[in-house]
Amino acid sequence: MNDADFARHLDRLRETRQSAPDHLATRILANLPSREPLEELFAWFSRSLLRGAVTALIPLLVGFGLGSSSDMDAESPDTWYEAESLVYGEILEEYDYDEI
Amino acid sequence: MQSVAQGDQAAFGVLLRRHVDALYTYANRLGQSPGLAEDLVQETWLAAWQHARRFNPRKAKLTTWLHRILHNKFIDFTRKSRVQYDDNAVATALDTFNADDTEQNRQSSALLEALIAQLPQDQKAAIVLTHVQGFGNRDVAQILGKGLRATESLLATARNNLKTAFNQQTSEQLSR
Repeated sequence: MNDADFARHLDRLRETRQSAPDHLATRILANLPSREPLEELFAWFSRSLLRGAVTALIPLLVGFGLGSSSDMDAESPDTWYEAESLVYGEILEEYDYDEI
Repeated sequence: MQSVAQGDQAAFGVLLRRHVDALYTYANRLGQSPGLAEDLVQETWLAAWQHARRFNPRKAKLTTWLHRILHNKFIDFTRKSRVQYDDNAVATALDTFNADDTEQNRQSSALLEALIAQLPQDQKAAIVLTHVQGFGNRDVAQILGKGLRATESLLATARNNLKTAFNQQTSEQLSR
């Protein structure tokens, strides 16, 4: 068989395309699940510009909330001053004042 | 497809009916089993429904994207359970082969289909996508997840193997 004959046979394969059984499309549509929660959430967020803006603000709000709720007293300027004084006092004790 | 991404089942139904036959043909050629083909097609459409947002029309045509999902589903299936191909298909095709010119073309096609079924998986997929489904080389490459040159090389090898096997089988049969 020459190349042209073989190519003709290959071309004829296009005629062998099949039809799916009638029930298949119905079965697929009947079994459609709800989308995965993450996909749904993503779809909801990207539906409008307003929601996109909300999406961008959420991390800021979360950060602000976390910052407000954390205990800042332990690291207030007064505490820093106190800690610095202690360290300085220890140095004075260790070395003679004149050396410093 | 944008409507489908937003959960429009009616739009999904339209796309489903438009592409289901092509996907079924490909699945049936790959798996050699109508039951398996139905399962693969169903899994493909469910994945398309769930991940519709990931479809990017600038990257691929919808039919290419769907075929790629189906191809990956088939690869997953073959990894889980080894597919057994029907070795008798060639013998059956040859049994009905005779020198009658009017019948010979049809029988040659049957033999060719049986030989395609016995090609290695990648070669079979490339031949079916090109010669049955009518995809161009770029689409075939996208579906198979290969580069363009690798796909062209794969197709050339597949065609060579197919032609050699076809000539061998037909000459043996006609010499009997």
